[in-house]
Amino acid sequence: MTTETALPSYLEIVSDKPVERFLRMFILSAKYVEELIIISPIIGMLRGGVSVSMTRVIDRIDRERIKTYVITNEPSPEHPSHAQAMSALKQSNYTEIRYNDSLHAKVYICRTRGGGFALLGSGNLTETSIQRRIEIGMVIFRRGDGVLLFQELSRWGLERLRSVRGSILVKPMTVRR
Amino acid sequence: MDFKQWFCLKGRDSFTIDAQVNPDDARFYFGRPEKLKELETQLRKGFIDPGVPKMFIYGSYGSGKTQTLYHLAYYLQHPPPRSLKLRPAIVHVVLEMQSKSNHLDWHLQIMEALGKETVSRWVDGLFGTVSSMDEALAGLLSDYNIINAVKNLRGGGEMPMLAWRWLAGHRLPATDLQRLQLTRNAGDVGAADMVKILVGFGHLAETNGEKLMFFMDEVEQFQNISNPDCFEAVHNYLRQLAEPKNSSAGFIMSPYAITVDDMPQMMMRGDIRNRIGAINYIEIPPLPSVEDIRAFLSELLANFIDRRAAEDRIQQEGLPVTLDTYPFDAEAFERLCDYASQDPVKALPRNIIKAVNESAISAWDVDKAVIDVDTVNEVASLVFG
Repeated sequence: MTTETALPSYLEIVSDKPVERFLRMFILSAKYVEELIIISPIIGMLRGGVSVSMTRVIDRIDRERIKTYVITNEPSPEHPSHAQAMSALKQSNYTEIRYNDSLHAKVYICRTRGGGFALLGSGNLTETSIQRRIEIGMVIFRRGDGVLLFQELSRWGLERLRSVRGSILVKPMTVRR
Repeated sequence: MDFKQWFCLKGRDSFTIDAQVNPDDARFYFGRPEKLKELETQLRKGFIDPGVPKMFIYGSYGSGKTQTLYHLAYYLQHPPPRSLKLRPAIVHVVLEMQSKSNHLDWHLQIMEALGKETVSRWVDGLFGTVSSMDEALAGLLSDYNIINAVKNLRGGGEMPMLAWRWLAGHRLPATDLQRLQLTRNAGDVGAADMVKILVGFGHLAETNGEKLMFFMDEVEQFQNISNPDCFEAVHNYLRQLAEPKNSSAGFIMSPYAITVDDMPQMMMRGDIRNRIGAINYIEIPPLPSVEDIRAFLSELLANFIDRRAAEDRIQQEGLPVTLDTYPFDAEAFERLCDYASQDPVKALPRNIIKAVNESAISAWDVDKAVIDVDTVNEVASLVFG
């Protein structure tokens, strides 16, 4: 019998390194990942003590041919790691990258076959955010009543945000047959 | 001009259909008239015998099972078929089962989806029409404890909530049982007890001119249950629901399954199959032929495009496209149908809609007013390849 708790089982508030938590869930997911959506104003190489590096993320994307949609700010000289991360992500055939300089939202979505999870919160996908900032996020699991929340968030990221005029396509997805 | 204006979309942001997010989308069911007829026929027959439909609809991910459930709910309401003499009271439930989930978890999810307000409304409705509530409830509900719990839904203070918690299967302490004048907790005597509550609610609904049906999605989740005792308890709950004598609480359950043999084991057991009947195990397959895909796509575009706005745009800008296939040019439309039909397993509504959306976004990225064959070639290989 389900124990009564304050939050329903498809929601979880994470106040300890929420972005790293999402990355670990993605890397460790045994299920087939259909899509990955990364919405973060700044993205870094995730070195220096972060348990999941950008290299590892890209390895999994390439190995399993995961369609990955990235929406971020255009890299600026203030964040050299951002430019490096974009350069690394551009190497993959399975990534689509868009720049939107009005972007402030941080959303990460992993859709698996028949399920998935998303993180909605305050943290950028950077080492600084993970290691040195106080961040908070809500994980939404695509199950039960969480399906609706997950679908709404996915549609916002995959359709509305990508088709807003300010979201400039920088690199399309190109899959070699 | 934003994306939806660019492609003359009629009151929507994209080509995606999602009745869970946008209830108005429930009216759409594109490109499968024979399948729809089969489903509607079985639904109508179910109201005659056994009195309420009991069906399983299965298919692969993206085949349109969820949309089918919502469309059938729409069908039953616009207007109800003749064999359904009452107003449909449809409750959508998205299942969530884990390794030790049991019949109490299932029951709780159903009850939370149904809602205390709905059942209280039925109880109030009955109260307004009978001279003796005790006699009326005794005629509808088969158990002393259920009768008393339902009676207390009309009480004041915290009694209605306590009664609802009992009916939902929460274990109440002895003091609360005493206050409610109950002798035990619901479910103390097994899953059949819980199903009696649902069946009783079905009877209550009928006295209010409504027919109760549960539409349950993602029931492949039953396969997550690994504890044998929990599994058997859930199976027992399902068997009780499937019993012919239950003519008041119907259901359509939708699991992921590529073939009928892939269905959750408990739905394939002999006792369930005998009670439900093989004819009520209905597959939602991929679109079988390029003609079906063409019909699906044509109907989607016909419903989603503002034809007047599109016609104006075509004329004003001299676009090389007709209304029949707009915003695709004719060659791109056919190419998309070809791509979608290359691999029968991938000819799924979800993939087709994804290809349409991605083609539109690609065209929008480069300010193309029409989706041409180059765009479709780039996108379709990603979706169907």
